[in-house]
Amino acid sequence: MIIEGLDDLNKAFSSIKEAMKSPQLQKARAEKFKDAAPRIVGSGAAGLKPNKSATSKIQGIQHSPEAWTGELVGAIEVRVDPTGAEAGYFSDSTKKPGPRTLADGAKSQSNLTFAEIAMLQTSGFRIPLSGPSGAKVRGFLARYGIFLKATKAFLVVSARPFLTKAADVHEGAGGDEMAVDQFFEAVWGNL
Amino acid sequence: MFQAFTNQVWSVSDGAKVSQAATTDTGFRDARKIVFTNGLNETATLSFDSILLSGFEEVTMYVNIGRQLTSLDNVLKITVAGQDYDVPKPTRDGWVHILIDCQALGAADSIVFESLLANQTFFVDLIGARKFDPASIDTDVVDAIIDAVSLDYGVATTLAADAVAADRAISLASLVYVFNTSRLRISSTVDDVTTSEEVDLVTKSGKLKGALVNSYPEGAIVTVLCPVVGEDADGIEPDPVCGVNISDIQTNVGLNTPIDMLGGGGKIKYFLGEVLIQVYIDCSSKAKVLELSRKYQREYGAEFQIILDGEPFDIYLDNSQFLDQTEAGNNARMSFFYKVQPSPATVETLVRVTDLTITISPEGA
Repeated sequence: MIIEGLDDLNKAFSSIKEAMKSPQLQKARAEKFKDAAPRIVGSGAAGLKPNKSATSKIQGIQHSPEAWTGELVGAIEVRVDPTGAEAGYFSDSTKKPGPRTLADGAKSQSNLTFAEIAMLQTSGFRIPLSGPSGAKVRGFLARYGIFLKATKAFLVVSARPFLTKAADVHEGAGGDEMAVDQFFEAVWGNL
Repeated sequence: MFQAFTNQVWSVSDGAKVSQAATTDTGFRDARKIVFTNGLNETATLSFDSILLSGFEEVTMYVNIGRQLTSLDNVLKITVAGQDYDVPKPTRDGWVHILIDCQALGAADSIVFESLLANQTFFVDLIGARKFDPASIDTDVVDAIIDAVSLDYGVATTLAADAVAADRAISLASLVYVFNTSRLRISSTVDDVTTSEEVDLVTKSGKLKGALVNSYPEGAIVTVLCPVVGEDADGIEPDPVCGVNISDIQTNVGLNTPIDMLGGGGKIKYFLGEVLIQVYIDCSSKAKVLELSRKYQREYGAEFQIILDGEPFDIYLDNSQFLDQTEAGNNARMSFFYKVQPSPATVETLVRVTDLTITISPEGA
């Protein structure tokens, strides 16, 4: 008995097997996330911790958490190696965000790199408010009418893991599944 | 939400013994070794403050009986709030989790363990009652990690002068690795009596946040602590500090899972989704962050056990990140990220059918 089409089916299965092993599939998924992340964070869909009152005073009440992260998230890259691909990667460790204008019209230029900002946002941080560097921080805040108690030891900045949360939203919305589907459609289309 | 029975007191019938388990290998926290040597029906009774069990979903405990050479099906009888539950002969060595549906039980102030064998030794641990509480399932994880983690900052000095109760300042012999807001433990032993208390510095010159409760002589040992604190992260002032935060809640709901109850019946439970936990170590000294991180990594790091709602769980490292000091003026911080599945919610309670009556009649009768 001859069953027609078995060769084609076998070929298709082999092709899928190869495609699943291929770093190209991971690259396609990572690229999809890279494209989606700025939209998710920029729209506020990532559900990050709201701003503290101090941030609102400095940046203006309309400033949403991570509003500037658009530039940061837009700078992420996809890294491909023989075993897979990774999104949320900053290849240029010296690249810094551009200057911005604060609510009072003052210009601000960060000396932090994108990679440093991403790490600060991911883990949260504390800035000591004592000593000469603490006095500088207190002075900066005082410009905006924010006066901290002398006994306050740290300026505590909460963690806002925007990449993790964006990945959750992206996956929950079916973005990752869509990337896989589209990749396989392309594979099937070439058969 | 787990509630350990409070003020637990053990008593035994003649020939039985209850003792604290000799090694930590035989228990999780406070394992008791129970030995019955004097024939059948010996008892060990755990008494505790009365608790209304209907306010909880299940009584939970861990029992380690070991395999027995007996033809009997059951080896132990447990009595809770007047209800008897037979514990079947175990099929394997090790700890067995026993759950008893207590939604229909009333108040209880004791649990009786009765031997159905002439001689047997077993261990029991983590006895209490629990229920699903959406208000606390996530913070229960944080509390469980705080209970499990203890970090030694490795810095100690002494008092350079006597300190008297109600003093609001102390004098330290050395300020190496002591920071403005370090938490300290002062301790001294006089005539075999140890006096100890924890204080918070306001400045490292020795000013305290509150007044001393006790008096200490010059030379009393002062240890700098690394307190482990939870979700109130924004108010964290101690330096150093180990913080435990929930940084994300996932909604990857699991499949319905059947859970057996002792005495028949059971519950259908489902898991609501993992929480992403951040455990961080933050200190003004980068050197100390590195040292504490390595200590943490060795003791906990990749995998460690927590007791979550009365159940021991191993949690596994998902990711980690070292944040160096940057131009922002921040402290160095090491973060360890874990994904932990909080306790599941109960969907259904299945009750054991005890009497089943089937009435039949011939067809056409």
